Formats: sequence, C-alpha cells, structure tokens
Amino acid sequence: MKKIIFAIIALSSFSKLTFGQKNFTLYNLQGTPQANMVNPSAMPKAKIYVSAPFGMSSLGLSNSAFSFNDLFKKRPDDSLAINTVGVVNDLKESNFFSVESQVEVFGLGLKVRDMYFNFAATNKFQMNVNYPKDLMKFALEGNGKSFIGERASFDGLGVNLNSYMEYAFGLTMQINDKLTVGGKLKLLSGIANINTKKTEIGIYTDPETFALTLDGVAEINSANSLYYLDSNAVLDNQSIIKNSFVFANKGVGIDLGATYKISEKLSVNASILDLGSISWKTNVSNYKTNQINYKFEGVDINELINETSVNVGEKFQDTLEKIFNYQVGDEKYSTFLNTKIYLGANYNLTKQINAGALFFNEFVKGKYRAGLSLSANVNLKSWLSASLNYTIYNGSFSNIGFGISMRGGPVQFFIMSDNILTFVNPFDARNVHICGGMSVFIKGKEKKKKDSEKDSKVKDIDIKG
Amino acid sequence: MKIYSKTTLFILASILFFTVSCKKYEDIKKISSTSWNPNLAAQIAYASFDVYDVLANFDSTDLVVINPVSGQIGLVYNSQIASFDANQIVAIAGISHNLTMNTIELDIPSSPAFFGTSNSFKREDIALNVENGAEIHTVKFNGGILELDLQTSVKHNLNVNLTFPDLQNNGVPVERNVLFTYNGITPQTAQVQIDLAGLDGDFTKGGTTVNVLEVEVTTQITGTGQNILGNEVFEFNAGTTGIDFENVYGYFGQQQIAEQTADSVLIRIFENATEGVFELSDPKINFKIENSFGFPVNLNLANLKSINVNTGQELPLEGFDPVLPINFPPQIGQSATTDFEMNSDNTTNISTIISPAPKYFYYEISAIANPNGPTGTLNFIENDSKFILTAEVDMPLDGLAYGFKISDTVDYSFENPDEIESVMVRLIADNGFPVQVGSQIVALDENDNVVFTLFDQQENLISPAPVNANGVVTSSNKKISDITLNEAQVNLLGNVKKFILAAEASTTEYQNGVYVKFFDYYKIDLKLAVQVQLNTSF
Repeated sequence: MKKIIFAIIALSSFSKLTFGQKNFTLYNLQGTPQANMVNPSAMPKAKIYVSAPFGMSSLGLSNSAFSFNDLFKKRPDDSLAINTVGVVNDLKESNFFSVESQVEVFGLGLKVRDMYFNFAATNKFQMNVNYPKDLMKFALEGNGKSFIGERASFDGLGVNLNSYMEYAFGLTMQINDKLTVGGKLKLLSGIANINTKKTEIGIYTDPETFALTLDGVAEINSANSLYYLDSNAVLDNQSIIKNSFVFANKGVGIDLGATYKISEKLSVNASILDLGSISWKTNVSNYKTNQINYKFEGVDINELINETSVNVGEKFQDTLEKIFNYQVGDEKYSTFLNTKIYLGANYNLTKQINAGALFFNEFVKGKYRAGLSLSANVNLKSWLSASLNYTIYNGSFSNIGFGISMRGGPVQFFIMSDNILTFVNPFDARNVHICGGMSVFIKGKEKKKKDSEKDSKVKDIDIKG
Repeated sequence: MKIYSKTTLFILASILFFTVSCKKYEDIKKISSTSWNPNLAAQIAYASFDVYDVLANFDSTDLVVINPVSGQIGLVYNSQIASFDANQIVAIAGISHNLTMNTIELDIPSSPAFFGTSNSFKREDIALNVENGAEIHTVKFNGGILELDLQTSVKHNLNVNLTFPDLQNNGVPVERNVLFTYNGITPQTAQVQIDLAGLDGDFTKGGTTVNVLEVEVTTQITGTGQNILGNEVFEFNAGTTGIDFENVYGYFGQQQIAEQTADSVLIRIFENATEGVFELSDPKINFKIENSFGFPVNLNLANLKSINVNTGQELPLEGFDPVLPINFPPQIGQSATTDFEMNSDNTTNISTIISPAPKYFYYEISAIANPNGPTGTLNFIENDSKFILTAEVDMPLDGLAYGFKISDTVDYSFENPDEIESVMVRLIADNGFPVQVGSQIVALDENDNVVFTLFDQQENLISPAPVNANGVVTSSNKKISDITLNEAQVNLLGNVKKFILAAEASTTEYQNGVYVKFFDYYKIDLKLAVQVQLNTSF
C-alpha cells in the first residue's frame, strides 16, 4: 500500500515537472530551421534542409500545482511526511497536468530568393488533465473539515487528449528589408481524442445535518479512445497508423507569423499557431449524464420499520443508477486546436548577442495560460548558436531554459530545454521540457560566401527571435 | 520512424532524469510512515414519527384513540376474556327412561291359543335430565340421537307406533312404527334411533310443566295361535347421546357461570419503564361486556390493582361498586353491550394507581346468572352465545410526567477501531411533542463491567416543545446533540460488548405542574449524522 501510494505521489510530482510544450527556447534558437515551427516568419539560413529521420522531437510535462518537494515536509527527526495541508493550500482553484509531445517525422525546406517553402509531417500528442483544488482537498481532507457548509466544486475536472498528424505547408517571405511574414496551411489527420466538453460537479455538505447534495452534469466526447473501453472492439496498431494518414478525422489549421525590424538593433515579432479544428468521426462515443441533483439523507427509518422486506442496499444502488444514468451516442463532433500566440522583441546588444523578450499566450479549452520569457541569444559562429532564458510560466518562477545548436558540415544538431533546472533539481521543478533534433543542410553559394566572412554576417540569419 | 524517434527521446529524457535524480532516492528513504487523516461526515438516517409511531407501534392491541371533537389523543390498553361456554351454563344430560306395558295395558287376555287381534294406547312422560336446576322449556336441537331399545315377550305379531307430539320436525311430530313378527323366539327385539338434529322439542307438556317430553305408544297384536300366559310385556328403554342444542329457552337457575378469573392489562408504554411519575387528569378503566346470553348476569369485580413489577408496588383500586349488572338481549339472535367506566367519580384513587408507571392493571372477575332468581321472563341461550369482557385502561394524554425512565441493552461488536481517531454522532431532533428526553449511554465489557460512560451526566437529547396555557404545543423545538467519542473511548471500543441505553422523559414544565395534552398531529423529526476522523497510517 505504501509503495502504491508513493508511486502515485511520485508520478504526480514528476508530472509537476512542467514539460510545457511551449518552446520558449526554440523560438530564439537562431539557426535552426525548426524555429520556423513556432514563428512562421523565421527565415532559416540554409538553402535546403531535410530533417529525417531524426527531426525535431520534443516532450513536455507540466503540473501547475506542486513539485515533488512540495509534497513533503521535513519532520524534526529529518524524516519526511506528506505535506497535505501545504499542498492543498498552494493549489489554485483550477490546476492542470499536461503532457505534450511533438515528433517531426519528416521535414523539408527550400529557399528560393526571398521565399522559403517548407513542409513538415509532425505527430502531435497533447494530454491535459484539469483537476480543481477542491478535488485534491476533498480527497485529502474528506468533507468533514472545510467543506462543511461549502460546495466542493469539481467543476472543470476532466481529461482532454488530442493526437493527430499534422501536414504543414509553409511559406516564409521577406517582403522588404524590415518585414518578413510567414504562414502555414496545416492539414490534420486525427488519430485519437478525448474531449471533456463539460463537467460541473459538486458535493455540498449540509452544515447541520451533514446531508450530502450531489449536483452537476458531465459531457465527454471521444474518438478512437473510450470507444475501445466501452465496446468489444479491439485496438490495433494498424488502425492507429491508418488513421494517421487517411484523414478519417479531418482537420485544418493555420499558423501565421511576422517579424518587423524597427531598427538595426531592435526587431519585433509575433506568431499565432494552431488556429483550426478537427472533426472527429471514427469510433466516436459521446457520454452525457443527466442533470444531477441528489440529496443523500441516509436511510429512511420509517421505511425500514414499515417495510420489513425492503433491501436498503439494493434500493440505494437503484437510486444511484438512476442518478448517474448517462446516455451514450456516436455523433461526430469537432474540437479546436490549442491556439498559441507569441509576441516577442529582440534587441541586438552586439553583433553576436541579442536580448529577447517573449510573451506567450495559450487557450486550452477556454482557459487562458500565459508565460513570459527573457532571453539572451548568442550566435558565436555560423555553426554555433545558443539561447539562455528565464521564464515565468505555469505559476512557476524557477524556469531557466537553455538551448544550443551546432552544425558540423551539412548536419546540424540541436538540443534545448525550457527548464534545465529540472535536470539539476528535479524535485523542485514543475515544468519539464526537452527538445532536440537533427537536420541536414545544403547551403547556397551566397550564404557560403557570407559564412566565409565569419562573424560579420551573423546578422544575415533570418531568425529574428 | 515516429516510434523510433519517440523512443529515442524518451530514453534520452530518462537518462537525464535519472542521472540527476540519484539524490531523490536518498530523500525517499527518509519518508517515514505517514498518515491520511480525512474527516468524513454524512447523514446516515432520518425518520419522522407521529403519535401512532411513538405510542402504538408495538402491538395492534395498543390503541391510540382520538377525541373526534378536540383531536386530543389517549392511549387505551386492553385485555379480553373470551366467551363462557354455553354448554356449561345449560347442561342437558339427556333422557334415561324405561316404559313397560303388561298384558292388561296391551289389552290381551290369557289364552292357550290366541288368534284374535287386540289394540292398545298409552301416553307417558319422559323426564329431561338437566343440571344446575335448570328448567327447560324448549330446545332447538343441533344434534344428538334419541335411542329406543324395544322388546316384547309376546309370542304374537306386534305392531308398535311411537309418537312424540312435542318433538317436531317443522311442526310435524316425530313418530316411528316398529313391527315384530313372531318367529318362534322370544323376546322379540328392535331398536329405533331418532336423529335430533333440526328437531324442536317442547318440554312443557303444553305449558303445564318443564323438563318433560311426552310419548304416545300405540300397539296392535295379531294372534299367531300361541298361548298368552298373562305375564308377557312390551317395553322400551329410551336414552340420548351427543345432545347439542342450537338454542334453549327456559330458566337456567341461579348459578355461578364463571369462577373467579384473573387477568391483567399490559400498559405497554410503561413496559420498559423502571421509574417515573405520571399524573393524568382523567384516567379511566373501562369494562366492556358484549353479551348474547338471554338472562341476567351480575359481574363481580375483585382485587383491582396496578402493579409495578420493577418496584413490586401494588396499588389497589378503591371506592368502586364491585357488582356490575350486565345487560342481556331481549331476543334471541341479538346481543347487548354493557359499558362500565371507572373514573375519578366512582373510584377514590384511580389517578394514584396510574402514577407510578405500573406495567400491569390486574383484576379478578366472577359472574352469576339470574342473581335475583326467576323474573318471569324466559332465559335463552344459543350454542354460540358470547359473553366477552374487555378491560381497558384508558389514559387520555392530558397531564404531566417526570422521571419516566426506560432502558434497554443492545449487543455490540466492533472489530477494528484502529483507524478511527474520533467519532461524532449528531442527533437532530425537531420535536413537536411536549416531552423532553435525556439520555445516558454506558458501555460494558463481556463481564458487564463499565468500560466508559458516554456523558458525564445525563444528556438532554430531545428538548420539549413549548405549550400554551391549555397545554397545547405551540411550536416544535429543535435540538442538535453532538455525541463525541474521543480517541480514548474509540480505543476502548474493541472491549465493548454491549451498550446500556437509558433515557429519562419528562413533560414540558412538569416542575411547574403544567399539564400537557397530546394531539394526533404532533410529530418528531429525527436526523442522525456521523462525523468520523480517520487516522490511517501507511
């Protein structure tokens, strides 16, 4: 039992490591063509690039509520005890745990004069578990303390899972010396989805009688996921792979970006990503509960006295079945992508170093999340660049990001994290992020010439993050 | 490729994570046993009891009566003595009679060889044997056999006709013919059986006497050439078996129809009471007699008293007339009811004997029929006549009570209290009765030793509803009582094998002598909730 509890705690605390798939570092990691993924106006240096078989892969985990160390408190004898009170007190009303991964299966970019055409096939996976503060509080404290006379609100509790293949066709165009714009049209093929459309559930404990009133409603849609739990259908890999390519669940999205050079030193940039939706049609299961409003007042003693044959247990079970009765449907539905907006500015301190500020915004199921990142970005050599940033995100103020890209010949490697503290002190981290990849470059003559001019040409790199 | 890239990334992330996480395991080792201490609260039961639930849910013989005008209620407890047996009151032993006719009565002369014919007639009274000096006039028989054993020593053919003019079947007298045909053997014998079921018998011989049934015997002798010696006879013996009547008229004598019989009324509201004082404004003891016996009866009451079995206290009822004349129906098939109420007017201490919360009201009765002898009116009785006496203790709930203590013991077993730190039981009583209830709970071990007492002193769990000047409840009174078992008591629960639940009830403002009334719309709402503080270590 102890091990199980610990495992759960450890897992949840690991999730606190915020693997947020926000790519603050990538945004400013100049020289990588993958920066175009977060800002379509980012113009890579390479004439042609191919990212395969090890294109950009990133993984992020976030737990907005607490870190591993937050879960425990030291006793006077140096032993650790679970810090239930502290954890609950630190929770926000609504918290989330998210896992995001992005794997670039294939990427190709071609620069023609001032235009840069690109294509990328990327698998994206996003899972977001929202858990309200009251849920944790209820589980840890029970209903007999602070919930006496209060409604324990589980509103918003739910899981949202989204897995799809993204086929992005992009164009970046330098309009003039100051303005560069970019955009991507993304065709999406949905693989699996769980969409908690609505959860409004609460338990009220009457302060006088302790009668429990359960209220609320829940509505969940799913495709290629809960269907397999609720039927005899067998999940097989072939169908998953097939769903990745056949567009059985069609979706469309766009990314837009722009960079404007205000002066030789100052530039601003912005991008909006994942404007779009997916229509889910295959193996759909829609679950919808009745509007619940049930007050549990215990056993009716009069009934027990007068009806000797009544089976209290069976009767209570029947009541619960009626209350929690739900309808299952198979109607198609649509989900929006989690739209992200980046707003940034960069100031060139020297020819090799610039300072950046990046304001991140995201909308997940109607909930707004924001982050702010301050960075120092360095282009030491044409083959070496790095970015160091400090980010406030997800209620966490201890996120130091670092990324580096290196090129040896035609091959470029890069690795980065939005929170390297995770690896230094994982127990205090709420956000974990790691991203890396490899690309093959074919450089144009003009660029080669500029490269030979060494550092003086760094400014030609079109990533203006 | 996708899977391969993911795997690579995951391995890379894992290596990085576990590489820098080595000290994590050192910290984990510091995690000592910890605990989960939720506090859970829930309502577990509710009930609403009205006066019927509270006062009369034990037995159908318990009766809550409502005054149709005022709506005020009272409690009536009763006991019943079943009917006396009609056959014990009028016992018809039956008939046992011999009739003999000699040659003179048969009108046949002595002769060496008789070839002639001779006729004769005789009328005789047959006595009906009865007990207790009863004088039977008429009987409607429900069953029984009248047996006649006939024989003759006459060596000739004999034709005998027997007629019972007052034993009739639908108005037709019963008669039987018996033919003796001489075959060389004497005595000649015959047997006749008359089924009495459905016959009407008049035993007054035309209103001239009682207990007599007349029979007419007609004979005809036809000579066979045999001699007549002069000592020949014809005779029969009459007897009855299994006589059962449907009804009987007559005079059944002055007899004691019921020996001294004792019974008692269980006053169930006091059944579990150990102590208490009741002061009711108008208690009554009612005797109700339903009588379908058609004769006067006096009921004699004796030794009426209340008994408190807990204290042994017996309080006799005094000042009443012990003889109670019972009404009887004027016609057969009817019944008459006699109600006799003992109250504060015709007794001297009826309120007093109720005061100590007695468990029983005890009484003895006997009854005598025709206490004044014959009155000129015929008695009657039917085989299903009833004489049912019901004794009721009628307690209109108007008065005061205090110190009314009851207790009960319940077995208990609790296996694993280790994970419970404390328990709080909350009782919410919204009381519409003018009664307050205090309680004490005592936990006992298997040797009946006190493990702990729940309250330092008796806890008032139900507060009395206030009353107006007329003793009528004006509003309900809500009381929330939290009964807490602390950690020490919880730890002792494993030793507890039974609980003694004791309660003491008193009426509103009894200290001030306030009389309260009970009405049928009174009710009490109860809610029971539990709050448990768990302490689970793992």
